[in-house]
Amino acid sequence: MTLPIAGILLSATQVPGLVEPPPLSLGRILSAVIQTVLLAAAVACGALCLGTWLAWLAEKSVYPGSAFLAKLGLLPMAIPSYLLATILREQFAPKSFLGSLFGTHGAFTGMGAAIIVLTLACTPYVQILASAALRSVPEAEEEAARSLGAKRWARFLRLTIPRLRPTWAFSMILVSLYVVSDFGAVSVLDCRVLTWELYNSRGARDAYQIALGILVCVLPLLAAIRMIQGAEISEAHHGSGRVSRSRSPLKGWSLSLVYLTHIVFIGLGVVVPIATLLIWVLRGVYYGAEFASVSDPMMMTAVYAFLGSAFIVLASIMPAAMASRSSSSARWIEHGTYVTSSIPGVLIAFGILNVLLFIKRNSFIASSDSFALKFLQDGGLFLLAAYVMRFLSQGYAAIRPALIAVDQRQIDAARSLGAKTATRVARIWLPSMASGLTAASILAFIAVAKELPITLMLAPAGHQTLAYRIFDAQSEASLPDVGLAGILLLAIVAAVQFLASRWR
Amino acid sequence: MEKILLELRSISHSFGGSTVLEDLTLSVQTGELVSILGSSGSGKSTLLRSVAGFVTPTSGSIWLAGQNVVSDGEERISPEERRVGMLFQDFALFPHMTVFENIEFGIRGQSGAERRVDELLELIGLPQYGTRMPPSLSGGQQQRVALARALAPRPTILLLDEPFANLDSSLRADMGRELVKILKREELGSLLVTHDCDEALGLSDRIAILDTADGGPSRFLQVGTPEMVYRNPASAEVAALTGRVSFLDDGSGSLRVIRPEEAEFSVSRSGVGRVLDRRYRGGVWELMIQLPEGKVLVDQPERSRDAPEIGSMGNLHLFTDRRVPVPQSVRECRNESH
Repeated sequence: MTLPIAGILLSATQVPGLVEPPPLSLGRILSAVIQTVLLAAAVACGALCLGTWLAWLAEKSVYPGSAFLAKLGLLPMAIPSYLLATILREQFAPKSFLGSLFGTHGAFTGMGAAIIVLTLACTPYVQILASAALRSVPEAEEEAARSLGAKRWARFLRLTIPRLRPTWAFSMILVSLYVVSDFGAVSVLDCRVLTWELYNSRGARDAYQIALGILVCVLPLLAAIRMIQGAEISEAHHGSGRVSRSRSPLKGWSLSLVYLTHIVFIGLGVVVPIATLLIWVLRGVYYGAEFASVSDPMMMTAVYAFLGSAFIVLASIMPAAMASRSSSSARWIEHGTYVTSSIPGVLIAFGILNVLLFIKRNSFIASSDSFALKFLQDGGLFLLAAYVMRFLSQGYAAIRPALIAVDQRQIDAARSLGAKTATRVARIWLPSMASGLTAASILAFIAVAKELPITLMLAPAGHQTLAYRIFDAQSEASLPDVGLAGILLLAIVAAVQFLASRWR
Repeated sequence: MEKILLELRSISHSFGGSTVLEDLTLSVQTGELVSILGSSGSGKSTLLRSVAGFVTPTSGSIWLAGQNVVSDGEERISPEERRVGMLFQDFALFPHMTVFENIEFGIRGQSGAERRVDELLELIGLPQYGTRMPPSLSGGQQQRVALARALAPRPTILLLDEPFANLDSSLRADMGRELVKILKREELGSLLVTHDCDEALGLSDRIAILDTADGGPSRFLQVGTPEMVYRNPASAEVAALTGRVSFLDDGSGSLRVIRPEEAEFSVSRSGVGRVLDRRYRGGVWELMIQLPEGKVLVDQPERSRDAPEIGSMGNLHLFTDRRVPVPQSVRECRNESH
């Protein structure tokens, strides 16, 4: 966490380069802050309403195909926001399929478009959280209320809403954090929020002001998340017993409305993106378009995702081990890990980029250790370090429970049988933690494969991943290339998930 | 004047094609506490939930205060309108509401609601606890709040689903006595579901033994006063469910039923009984005596004489000649061995 902040501070003192971008005006910075806050608020409200309703349908209602539709509705989560944004931008353009259907006139860009795309991307997260909250209402509580004469609406108002309230607060903040950190969708849709402005002005002398603006937006959200999580832990002691499984059948107009919601949501979030990618590739083949080579981006994606996940897992073991040993330090280690990983990728990349520039500019380092520096930069070590910072919490969250689950009695038994540290690690710790380590590796692999701003800003020259390729191709309006890279990226993610589920 | 508050008429219920409850008929009158006693999985809770309306029995009818609430698989009155109070095993207090709000839940907006809550807080002995949150209360206090909440809307009948199962054994007896006192004061009819025979015998006016006699669906094996079901069980299953018991099979086609306090062991070298085991139970020694016809459990009062040593011989004096039919399962075993 210190490294990116040091980088931001260093950027304030940097010597201007040969070509310096124009200075940022206060008005532009303020406008970016306002746009960021408005976008976060609108997406949080939209995702909250839609996610809660979908969760309610999944947990409390029953209608033909409800279970299948509920699962399908979570798939937009797997599609990176920049890819979803590119697809919808093209599909909603005038004279395109959806553009003609809805009669759009202007380009599908700016604040409105960003709200729609990010709401689609964030709704599944809210749905998962709200579903968990709805599932946690004990059946006996529901029955007690019914026996006391409370009808369905009264039960919703007096039992369900109080249960959902902490989840809503948590979801609002989580979604806001996602939106403030998002770089992909806002850049594709040219929505002038802080992350996009920071990327555009990363070489400017006063870019640090935007970076600080992002930090100012993010830090209160992080503090709020930690507070709510603390409150939820104490809430978790409330209510126990068998959870409610009762579901009401839907009929008539309400059923039509439900299907319409599913059609719109799954259509825009799943069917249209996948169909569009396929169509772009097929159209490219049909018209004989020259596809840019994807073998290198595929290789780079695999290499960086593999190395990134390995680094992330290794880096997560230490804090997880420390946190599982001492309950007093666990809280602080956990805070530190989550706060580090909650810093937006574009900010981490900006900070590290400035540290790198600082090292390069200092001739005494360059002259004495230039080979090592070249190796560090060209070998992508800074890029891997940035991945570790960004996704450390994912590795930590998977490894810590696995570490806690290791039975201390088995370790004691091994010691009493004469096993030394290495033997205990190899024969007890690692086999016991295998599932946690695998889960951490898979989560990290997928996250790194899809990551955009860090790769875009820190990847060594010529090292283009599929995410990078998609971003490049969309800015060049080369849709067949976007289609091919998009399909390959989704296929890699799906294949890793499939292999992991088979292995388990 | 006593009035029938609850009537079950030939209730049967099936789950996924298999019948779990069959032909249950029972009534509960004003001021009466009837217990449904049965082993785990016998369908006691399903029956209670049928009365509350959370389960619709496949056939038969349920009448509450003269109103038909369910008939042959058709719900006539919803759970919200049945006016039954229910006390749950884990209390099911609403954790986000204060004690006062919990009790007020069913009468909110009605005139005199506040006064009624205060009355009930007095009744359960927690007048100062209105502003407390449920998780800050002890198990016994939570149970009292749950009782007050169930009583607040003045229900027709109170349904008690193993209400003491989550309490310490030291609290159970006190809470049971207190509950009966409150129910009598409120002149309520109640249906208590339990698997604890001491609880059923100690609290009930009548007991209905619900169990499966031959591996089939559960039925009422016997309905009667606690003394009746304890002293004159209709079957071996009823005898086993209502307390400690031994059966002696003398080959007469019936089993002799012996409660531990209905026998006395006296040491004698020429006796036919041998002490297999002994256990001190506070005030009495519980002896396991081996006779030629089988084993018998005997409570020997501590003060009467020294407890016989394990292995000592003696005679067993039985004060009863009560018999029950040999259960189907035992008959089948005998036929197979022949």
